[in-house]
Parts: sequence; C-alpha cells; structure tokens
Amino acid sequence: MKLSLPKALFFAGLLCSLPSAASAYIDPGTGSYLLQLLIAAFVAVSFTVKIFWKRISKFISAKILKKNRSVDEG
Amino acid sequence: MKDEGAKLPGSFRDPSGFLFVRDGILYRQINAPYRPHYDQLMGGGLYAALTEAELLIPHTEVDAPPADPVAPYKVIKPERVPFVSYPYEWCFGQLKAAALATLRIQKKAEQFGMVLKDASAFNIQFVDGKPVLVDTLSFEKRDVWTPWIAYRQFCQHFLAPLLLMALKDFRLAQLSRIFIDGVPLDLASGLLPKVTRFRPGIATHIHAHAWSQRHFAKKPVQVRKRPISRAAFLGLIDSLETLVRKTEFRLKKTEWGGYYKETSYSDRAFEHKKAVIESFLGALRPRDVWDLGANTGVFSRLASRRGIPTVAFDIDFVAVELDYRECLANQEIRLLPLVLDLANPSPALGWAHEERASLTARGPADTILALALLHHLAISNNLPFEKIAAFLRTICRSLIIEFVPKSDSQVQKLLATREDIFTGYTPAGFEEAFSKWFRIRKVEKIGDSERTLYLMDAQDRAPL
Repeated sequence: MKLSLPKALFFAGLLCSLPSAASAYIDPGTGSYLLQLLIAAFVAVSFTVKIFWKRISKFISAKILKKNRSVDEG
Repeated sequence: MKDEGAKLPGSFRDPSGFLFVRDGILYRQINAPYRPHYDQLMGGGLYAALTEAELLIPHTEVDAPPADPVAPYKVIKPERVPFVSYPYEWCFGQLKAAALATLRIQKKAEQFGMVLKDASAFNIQFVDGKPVLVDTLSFEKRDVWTPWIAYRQFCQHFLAPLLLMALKDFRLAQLSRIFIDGVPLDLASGLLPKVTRFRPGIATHIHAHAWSQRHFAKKPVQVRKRPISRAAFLGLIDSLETLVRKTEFRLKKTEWGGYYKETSYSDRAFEHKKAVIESFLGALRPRDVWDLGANTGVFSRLASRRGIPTVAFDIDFVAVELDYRECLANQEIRLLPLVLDLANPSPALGWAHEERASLTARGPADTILALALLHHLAISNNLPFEKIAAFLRTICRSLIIEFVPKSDSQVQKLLATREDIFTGYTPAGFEEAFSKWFRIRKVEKIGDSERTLYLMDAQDRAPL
C-alpha cells in the first residue's frame, strides 16, 4: 500500500498513542473517534498559539495606535 | 395531515423526542430521558443565547397532551419554518453558511457546558434568510471524556460536499441527495484533487479521516480513554471553521448565468413584463410564491419585495448562487433561492420514503410563477403541455405563466439543432391543454415582444 505524507504521519502518531490490546469490533465512527484523539494535542497547541498570538497582536496594535494618537495630538 | 398526532417523518430516529402535528399546529414532544439535557439547555442560558443570536428556532412550552404517553417530559411548540429545504437544494453559499452556523452553535454550546450531539445539515433551515438550527434536542451535556461525537457527521454533511463543490465540480452537490447521511469520506478523498493531500486541513479532516475509518473498520481496537481538554475541543472546531471559511466557490459563467444580460428582450418588453406580473400579483395577493426557473431571481423579487415569502427555484447552480449572494447583499429575508431540476424534482427520500419530503409534498404554493420556462419543458424535455399543466396543478392554486412562441429567438435556439416535431406547440394548443386543469383569468401580450402572460386559477376538479 502506498503511504502519502499525511497517512504516514497519522499512522506514526496512532502507533504511539494506542495500546495494542483488542476488545471490540468497530464501525466507521471509531476511525473518526480515534482521529480526534490523535489530533487533539496538535489542535490544542495550534489553537492556544493562535489565541496567544491574537492577543499579542491586539496588544501591540493598541499600543501603536495609542502612540500614533499621542504624536498626532502633540 | 393524514395522521394527526403521529410522529412526523424525519424525527422518528431520535429517542430524545419527536415532532408531531395536532390541529394543524406543530409540536415537539420531549421524552423523560432527555430531561437533564433539556433543563440544562433552558436553565443554563444556552437557549437564550442561541435564540438571541438567531441560531436556534425559538419555542414555547405548552400544556398540550403528549402524542406518545410513554415517558413524556414536556411538549413544546416551535416556530414554524416557512419553507423546508434540503442540503441538496442549496447552493454553495447556503451550505457554507449552514456549516458556519453549526460551528458557531457548537462554540456557543461549549461556553454553556453543552455540545451538539449531531451535526446533520438537515437540522439547519433557512428562516428569514438565515441558517437556523431547528432541532432543539441536538444538545447534550459535554462529557470531557468524549471527543465531539458529531465530528464525522459534520465532515460528511458539510465539509466533504463544500470541498468537492469548490475544488472539483459544483454538480457534486447532488451527492447529498444520494447519500442521505452525508458524503462518505473515502469517496470525497478519492474525488478531491491529489494536491489537497498537502493542505493540512483537508489532509487531516478528509484524507486521514477517510483512511482512519477504513483502517479501523471491523478491526478490534481498545481505546484508552483520556480527557479532551477545552483547548483541544475548541481547537478542533477552530480548525474546521478555518477550513470552511477558506473554502471558496469561484463563479464560472454557465449556460444561464448571464441570461438576463444576454436576453433577447428589449428594455420596453422587459419593463412591460414586470408591470404585468406586478398587476397579476396585486390581483392575486398570494400568501406564498414559488418561482420556477427563476434564474437569478429578477422576477421572484417582484413577489418577495411585496413581503410575500418566495422560493426561487432554478436548475442552474451558478444562477442560484448569484441569487443567494444578492439576497445577502440586500438583506432580503423573504426570498429563498434553491437549486431544482423541474424535470426531475426532489423526491421523497429516506426510510419508507418518509424522512425527506418531495417537492410536491411541500406544496401547494399559493401562486407559481413559470416565466420563460414552458419552452424548456416542452421542447428541451419533450414534455407534453398536458403533463406540464397536470403537474403544475398539483403544486399551486394559481399560476402566472408565460407562453413563448416558436418564432421567439430563444425557442429558435432550442430548435436550431433538432427536428421540429412540436406541432402542438401553439398558443391554441397551450390554452386547450392548460384549460383542462386551470381556468384562464387574464391574458396579456408583452409589449414589443411576441410573448404572452397568462393568469390562471387551478380548477377545483381534475379533468375526466
């Protein structure tokens, strides 16, 4: 079977995160369930960085705006 | 309604409750097992937040007796949706708006400790031009040990068709009609261009998702439970939202997209046609209007701008997209553009043909506009006048219809590459066939053209 980059990354991640014990037969929903468990850490980090970055850029643009305003008024 | 008080088709799968109609009023019964979730929805502030944001259909709790005496908790009366439409009738912009509304609802629910337990596109309806969740029982308390249970459904109902329409072919929107629980992800993965495997969002939510489903199908796996952090939960929603927002449908010119710009009408004929339709609408004062073959909705707006709830159907996906964009730009709340092939209208679908209603079952409309449509049905589709009249009679009470003679340049175009076998295609043949099903009330020639507009009332009885 040919493995593309996303599949290879997914498979590697899955191997690290799942125990090997067997207990139940699974429907297509389980693939979705497992994918979410796998990407949970990635999306959590990217979301946190995004929120943090938004706050920083908002803070900086507010500072610049304030500075520009005081220069204009001065 | 043939079965008063019975569960309405389309809501019988959910054990939390169901819809029913009694004395012409729509109710929803909430069953006892759903009580904790419903109480949290109402008492926790989520219902108020969502209805204020016009994201959830409002309801009132009523004293009406339950339709099913086994374990009822409450009966509520939701506001009625003026016209129920389905995802396979929506243009790209409507499906995208519905997807984003679903994710907004999910984010709002999370703030109140709840989650959407399903993300079916069929749970969204357009009310006053806005996508609104109509299934009040879609929420449950969030369990931190469970990922988003409706993730797969969201990808199948929204993400896959949006990406296929935007990146492959807009006609793939019709897959939603075949696959009633959404487009299978392995199919979407196979159809999408190979280059999408290198776009992280699509690679994750479609390609890896499809592979994961296939790989673990019928495979024994023991899942180690772990809590899903708030950042992970919101991160997933944010990732989906970013992907949906970035997915754009680029308009191409299609057969009918530039119809009004390229029409053979003179300005005078166009204005006179509008004036005659206005006068017919003034005489009829319909409660609702369906415009069949509406194109970008120029004539539909003659009805909707009078405050009449109007549905503008057209076979052309691009024309409907343009119509929808105009509705958004002008905040037109009375007009709902939809994709429909009148020669193959939306059928009854789902279990026992009952879960999704056919076009006919959603009618009849008070008035139908059938303008510059007849020649397409009669000549392009070989449909006899009598068949057209009989069908239109089943879906309306009055009809404003335009007869376009063979000498018209638009009909000549249709006949240019085929033999003219349409000997009965004459004003007399048209009037004779339609008179069996309708009473012709008014006839007006459109000035500076060879076309004629008819105002007809449906006959009470079908011909023998």
